[in-house]
Amino acid sequence: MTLKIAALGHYPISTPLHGGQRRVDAISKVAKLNGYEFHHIPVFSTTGYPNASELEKQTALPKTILEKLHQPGVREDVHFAREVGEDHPLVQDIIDRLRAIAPQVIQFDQPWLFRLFKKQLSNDNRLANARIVYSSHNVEADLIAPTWESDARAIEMELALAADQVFTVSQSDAEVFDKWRGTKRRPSVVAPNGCWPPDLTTNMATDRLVEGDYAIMVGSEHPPNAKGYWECIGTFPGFLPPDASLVVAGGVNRLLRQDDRFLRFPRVNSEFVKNFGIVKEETLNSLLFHAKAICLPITEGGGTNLKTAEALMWLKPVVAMRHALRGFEEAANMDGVYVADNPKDFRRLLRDVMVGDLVSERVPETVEAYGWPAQLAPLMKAYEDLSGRT
Amino acid sequence: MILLDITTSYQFRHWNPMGILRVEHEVYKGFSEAFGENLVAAIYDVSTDGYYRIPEEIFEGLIFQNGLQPTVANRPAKAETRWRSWARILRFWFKSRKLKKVVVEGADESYRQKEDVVASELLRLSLEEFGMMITAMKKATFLPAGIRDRIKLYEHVHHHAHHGLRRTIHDDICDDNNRVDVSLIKHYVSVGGFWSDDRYRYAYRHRKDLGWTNHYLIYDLIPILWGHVAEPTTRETFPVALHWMLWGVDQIWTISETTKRDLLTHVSENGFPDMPLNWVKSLRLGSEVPVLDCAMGEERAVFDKYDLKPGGFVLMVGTLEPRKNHDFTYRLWREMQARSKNEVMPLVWVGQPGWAIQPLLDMIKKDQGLPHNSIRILSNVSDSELVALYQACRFTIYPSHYEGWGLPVVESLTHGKPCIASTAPSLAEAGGDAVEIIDTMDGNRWLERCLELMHSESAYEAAKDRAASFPRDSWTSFREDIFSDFSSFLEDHETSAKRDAIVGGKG
Repeated sequence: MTLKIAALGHYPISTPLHGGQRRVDAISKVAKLNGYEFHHIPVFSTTGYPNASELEKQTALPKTILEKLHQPGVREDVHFAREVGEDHPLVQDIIDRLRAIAPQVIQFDQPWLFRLFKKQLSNDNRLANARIVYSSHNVEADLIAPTWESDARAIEMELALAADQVFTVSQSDAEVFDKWRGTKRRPSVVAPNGCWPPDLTTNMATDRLVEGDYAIMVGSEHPPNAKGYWECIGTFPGFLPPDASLVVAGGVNRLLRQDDRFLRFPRVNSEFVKNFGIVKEETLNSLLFHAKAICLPITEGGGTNLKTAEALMWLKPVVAMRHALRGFEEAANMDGVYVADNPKDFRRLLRDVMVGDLVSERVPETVEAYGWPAQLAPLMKAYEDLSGRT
Repeated sequence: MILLDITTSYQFRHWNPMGILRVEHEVYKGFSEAFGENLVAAIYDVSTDGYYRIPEEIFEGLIFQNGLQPTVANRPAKAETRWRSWARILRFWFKSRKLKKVVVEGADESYRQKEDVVASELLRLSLEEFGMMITAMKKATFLPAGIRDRIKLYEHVHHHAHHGLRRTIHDDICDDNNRVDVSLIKHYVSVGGFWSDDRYRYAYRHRKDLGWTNHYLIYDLIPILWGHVAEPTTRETFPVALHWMLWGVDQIWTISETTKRDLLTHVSENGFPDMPLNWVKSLRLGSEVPVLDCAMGEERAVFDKYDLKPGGFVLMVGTLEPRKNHDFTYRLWREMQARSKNEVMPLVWVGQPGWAIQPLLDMIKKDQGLPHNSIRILSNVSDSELVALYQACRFTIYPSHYEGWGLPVVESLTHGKPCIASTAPSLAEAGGDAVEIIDTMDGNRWLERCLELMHSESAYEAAKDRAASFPRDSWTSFREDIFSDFSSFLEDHETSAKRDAIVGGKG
């Protein structure tokens, strides 16, 4: 019998942009590569995710709920279940879909939807036997603003305790959940983030978008990305030789532009830093292909970074803060990976890379383990175990 | 051969040689004496991206004597009658018709010659007649196509012709014959305002391509460390220039240990290449000032003009800008007037109003709590009047937030006048033991001390003794120091080059 997994999340994955979307998308693809059925059912805001597919839009939140979710003081994640309410017709619709799928495993990506379905799942004859998985991306309560910390912890703990299995992206997150769940429960399964190997053979020379040598930083509109930028890159990019530049791609640029520090030295920054904003996948690949180095100015944040795995797989010199290697600690010893323990060292390393004093001779075999199939293999094994197929 | 950049002296030749100009002059004097024909003192031209020698016959007058300034053209007076004025204008039109075609043609030499003809014809009109003609043309813009272009052309040519800018000394200097042959240059020296155009990029490029060694004098890091209160243009241009400079420099001089420390911190904090510490040196600028007999000089008129009693006012010298902390002294004087039973001497601010200062000046004008004339602002003071003010003041104050050096402190002490200054590091460095440092966070201490120096003769005499202990630095010493350090570099550089050649030869 085919192993069937239904995953509930609060964002679509048909156009994966941020880290969470990319992880769920990868789990889906790897599961399918393993011969499983993987049904992702997103319950989400079309305002935040306008690029969802038609199928995904079938379970999008109605406008009336969106208005409630977008009120001041209401968060789309923590207050999701409260504002939607478990009696909402959409919940029943999704339960019906789940019944039709009849999955052996029901997975919650991040904890926010669990309270919506908790009662119905335990009371439904066809679904009560399905195994529940909490697929965590972080320890949410540790990262959220202090105002919402206790609410977030309560929601997350409820799911962690109710779940038959918890997936985490790092060992340190696993330790937190295992402590909550106690020693008699199944220990968490750790599967760090990975990436799809880039096409290193493609000749993208004609697509070169930036003249001269450049280092690249890729980051979403996630506050820790901006914080890391200001700490490590700072307001004055003195580490860049005059004929080189730094390319910043992704939603983080919006946060940078909103920051007063962005205007401290506007002429230096406009000459040496190229802010690309959100770019298409092929543009990003071209930027990465031609970059001299990839930098990971990450100083905080939970989970592991998709960006880290990707950076390693491009085989170029990687300059990273030690925090960026969370989940990839062994990569610090790889050729061409330069790890800084403080922002000042980060800038020095980046400078030495840009002038060619530090290089990379990393080979694809060294980083094969960071591909999604290898990284997510423990989850596939866990699905098998949960469904009783092993 | 050594290329000494004197662009700043050239660009500001209409100014008296103070500050950067004085330094550039002194370095030129010292280096030309030492290196003779091996020194090329040249100016950078941004439009042609090159350096040009100033011809010997005009060098002295141009750089040292405020010479060869453009002069306004002599124009005829307006014609006696209106119809005669229009006759002149019609004559101009008739003459300029021949030039109609060239207006749309390229900017080649013949075009320039024809423009010269237009210029000379325009100068046969009075200023008023030119205005009449342009007004009439503007009313007729509905007529033939291209009349707007003509108006633009005439206004442009007229402006240059009237102000003597049709062909300036700059055109004569920036002639191919004077262009510096970069292949002959080995060392590039800049002690001026390198951030005002692209010369730092030029020097960087030639260091990279031709192996020049680059030597810079840095005054301060105000546009970076105190950019929020720095002059708006420099705040934009200096950080970029410094970035390029720090990636292409072999030897750096600073005008204080403070600037040296700030520069090295900036380098280290932001990831610039490490500086060779043995080639980063602070030098003390000269502090000689002219001494005038105020009682005899015409400068005395400044006291009458501003109703100042010699010995009865306190002086603060510096551009009126937020960084100098005039705001603090305003509040200090206001409070002093409120608290003191004795008369409070007026405070005299000498300096041009700079940027972001108008709100403070407006506030002072309207402040009912500050007795009239407690603070007097002297914005157009000549150098000799300034000397007279230094000589006649009771003491000076300088509570600046940040400086690269502290010229007003040095000037005050050189004139033997006590100076109370803030804790800005360079001020203590510039004034040494002779300057009295009080933290501006300690407003009460400032207040007490100012009143004490105004009213207690014994305290004042002690303060004067302290000021008199100031060791004056000479410009000769500055020249010797910079030359000596530069020579050491050359010696070391040549030794290394020889060693490399030997090692290379063996290899």
